Amino acid sequence: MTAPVAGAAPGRVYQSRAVRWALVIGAAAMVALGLVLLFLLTQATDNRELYERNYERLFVLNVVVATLLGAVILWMAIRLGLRLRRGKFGSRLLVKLAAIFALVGFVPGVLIYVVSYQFVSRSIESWFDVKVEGALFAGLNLGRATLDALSNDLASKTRSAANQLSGGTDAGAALSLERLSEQLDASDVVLWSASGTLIASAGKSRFQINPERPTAQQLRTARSQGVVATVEGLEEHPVAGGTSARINALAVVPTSRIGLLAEPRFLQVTQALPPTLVANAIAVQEANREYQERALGREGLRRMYIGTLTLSLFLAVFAAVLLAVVLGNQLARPLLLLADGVRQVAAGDFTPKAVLQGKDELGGLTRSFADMTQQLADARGAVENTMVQLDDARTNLQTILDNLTAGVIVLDAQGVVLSSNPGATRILRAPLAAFEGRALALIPGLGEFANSVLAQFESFQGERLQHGLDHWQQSFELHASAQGMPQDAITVVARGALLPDSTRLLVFDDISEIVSAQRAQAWGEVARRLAHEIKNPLTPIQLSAERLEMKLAGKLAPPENTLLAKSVKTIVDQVDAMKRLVDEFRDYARLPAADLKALDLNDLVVDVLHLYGTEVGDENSRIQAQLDPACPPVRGDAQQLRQVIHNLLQNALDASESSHREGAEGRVVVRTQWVEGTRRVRLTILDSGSGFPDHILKRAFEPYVTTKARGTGLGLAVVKKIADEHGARIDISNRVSEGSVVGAQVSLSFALHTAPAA
Amino acid sequence: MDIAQLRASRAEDGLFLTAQIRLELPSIVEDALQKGVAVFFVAEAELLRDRWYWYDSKVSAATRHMRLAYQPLTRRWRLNVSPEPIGNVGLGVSISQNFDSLEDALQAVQRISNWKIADAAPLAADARYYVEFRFRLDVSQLPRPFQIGVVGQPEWNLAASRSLRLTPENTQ
Repeated sequence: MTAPVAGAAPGRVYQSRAVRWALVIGAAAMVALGLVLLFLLTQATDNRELYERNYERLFVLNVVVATLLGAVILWMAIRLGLRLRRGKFGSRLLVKLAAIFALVGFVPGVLIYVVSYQFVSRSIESWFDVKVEGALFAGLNLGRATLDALSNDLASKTRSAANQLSGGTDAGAALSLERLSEQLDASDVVLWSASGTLIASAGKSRFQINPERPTAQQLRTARSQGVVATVEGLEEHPVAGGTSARINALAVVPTSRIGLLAEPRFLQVTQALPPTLVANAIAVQEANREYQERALGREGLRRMYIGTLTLSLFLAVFAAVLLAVVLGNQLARPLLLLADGVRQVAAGDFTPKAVLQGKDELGGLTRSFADMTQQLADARGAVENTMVQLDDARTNLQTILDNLTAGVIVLDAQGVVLSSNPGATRILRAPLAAFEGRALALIPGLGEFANSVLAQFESFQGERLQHGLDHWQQSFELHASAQGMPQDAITVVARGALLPDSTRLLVFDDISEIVSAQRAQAWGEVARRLAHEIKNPLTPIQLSAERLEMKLAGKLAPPENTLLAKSVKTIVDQVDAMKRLVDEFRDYARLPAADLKALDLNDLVVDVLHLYGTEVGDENSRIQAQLDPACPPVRGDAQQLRQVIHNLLQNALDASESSHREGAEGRVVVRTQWVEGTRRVRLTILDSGSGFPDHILKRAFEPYVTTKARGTGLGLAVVKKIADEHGARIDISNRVSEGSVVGAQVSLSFALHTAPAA
Repeated sequence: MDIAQLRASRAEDGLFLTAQIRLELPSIVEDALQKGVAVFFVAEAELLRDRWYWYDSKVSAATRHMRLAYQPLTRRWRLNVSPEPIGNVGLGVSISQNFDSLEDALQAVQRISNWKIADAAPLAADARYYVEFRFRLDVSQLPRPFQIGVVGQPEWNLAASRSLRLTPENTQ
């Protein structure tokens, strides 16, 4: 019976274990991935280049991971919610645990997040303060002012040089340019024509085939303003070995001969800038640019950092929640298992419970619980076994009680019948079962008995304490009325005891027959002794009387002689009568054991009737025999049964005669009858006498109970005794016809000879 | 911002494009420029051939990157033009011009003339072609924090596009 359960449980456990492992591994992998990404993100924050290049990719990857985690958590939450709604066992505990763990993970995360958020936004703002910006701007201005000063200086010098040149001719210009170059410390001095052709040059450009000429706009500006100075080559990213930074000044050379030469000439002076100045200026410019970029992009920077933070928070919280659910599951599983087991046990299911193999206390708890359940199941099995045995014992007891000839009644202290057995009903001749729950005294005819019993119990309880008796015993006469012996008087011997639950047990037995038998036996003993004592002197008395008559006969006077003869005759007659009486006593007392043989009852009856001079079928005879030819042989002692028939016939004839004198018919009928149903042979003798009074009828078979004036009262007692010896049932009753007694009948039913064998 | 004029001309050695763009910089962009932040513009042109059964095939493509920056030291504007992405670090192979004012520099940016977008060889006589021209402010070359900062700011989202069907008439 337990085999399928035991087979199913490991399968389920195995499956759930696999699922759990998959879940744990998946969660661990995701957490690890998230951590790696987070690490990369923070690493990238260190390295600006790497960070700025890969920030978006990292961010997206992290978002994806966070989304995955979030989806997993959402799925779990939905699953848990569904379970909760369905009222699935244990989901509340799971929700509680998950909530606790999630809170434990969530709250510190949020706290750190809030602090970091404040920190990041404040610190980013603090980077961009007015002082730094002002300093940078001032540095820039300084560089600008320096450059301006240098270019203005060069411009004015160029202008004055141009004025000096105004008188000179193109041919002499080269020399003056050479001088000018040295004078101004210029790297290059060029004299351009208005159309942009080189007139003369000194310095670097002399070696160039095609030196850089001024732009048209520069020429225009120079013509309008007289002089123009520009800073050139000041790139943000100076090319190594390229053109170095320089100031280019262009001035109009005034024409001295108006109208002769309409075209003005231009003097270009190029002066290299000091490299340190250029480097510093460029550094300041670069710093300013970067500062401005960052200042303008500070919103983005803030977003970047806060995005990173937020993502970290999400990753951490999601991972925490995921772990919380998994760990909560782990923690809740044994508890759920236990709770489920407890529920099953409470419902009465003692099948073996699932057990966790873990080494921790919870696993131990499940094992202990399984052991406990097993013990409970064993105990219950034992109890059930005992109950069955008890039931059997009770059934046995009930059967015994039901089949007990003795009556058993259980009473409570107030005499209320709690239970009784059929024996009690039979003996008390009262429907006791119908009176269960009512007082015994309420049963008609048993009031006196009930009161006596109660009184006995009361006195017994009093005495028990003193003498330590465990029962009382008393005999009662039931249904006894005032005059003599009523026919249905019962003698019972009752025994009372207390049951453990303070109810009272009353056991009683009908001993009427025993009393009767005891009486008969006592009489037999009396008769035997009396016969013995009386018989001894009788013979000497008779012999003495006869001898007295023989010796004195003829020697006395006739009147005396007559008296003598008469007296002796009286003595002898009376002694004879007494002898007969004594013989009868002796017969009764010393009836030999019956010698049971096969016997044809009809033959015996015919035989006995011969003694009375009556033939079977004689219509005029006083004794009518109605013999059933179908009677099989019975078990009986011919001698004793002859005595029975004789006694009964004598009684019947006596009874009939006494009534005959009163003018009645006075017939006696002897009848044998084969009773198929009971397989017995019945012998019935009927008379037409006056019948028996009721009190005689009840005790007719006891010795010395007689209706006859001169009867010994032993006739029926002998019959009864013989019938008992033969195992024959004997009944005596009055014949009642139309409400009046028309005679009496005695019937005996004998067992067949073959009956014991059959 | 839109493209005011777009013309194509076919010559011996290829297909040339001339475009005039109307560009008004938003104040926030101009502010950034004034503060020294370099701003990039990209002009892209694609020559596409019609295909009724599939996506139109790309015959050739040309890109022009422009970097406009203010130099506070000299108070001048510098414009670099290159067919490659320029970036902030190395200016690479680029033609640079200096301007005294922002207007002049923007004028140079807005005008694209005789830009060779395709060689003459791939143009078949019986096929139908058209030119896709796009011009936009290239945010992706801005400094990274700037990029993240300008996300969601419409002022920085400057782009215009126009397509031109090549017919024998308008390419002469």
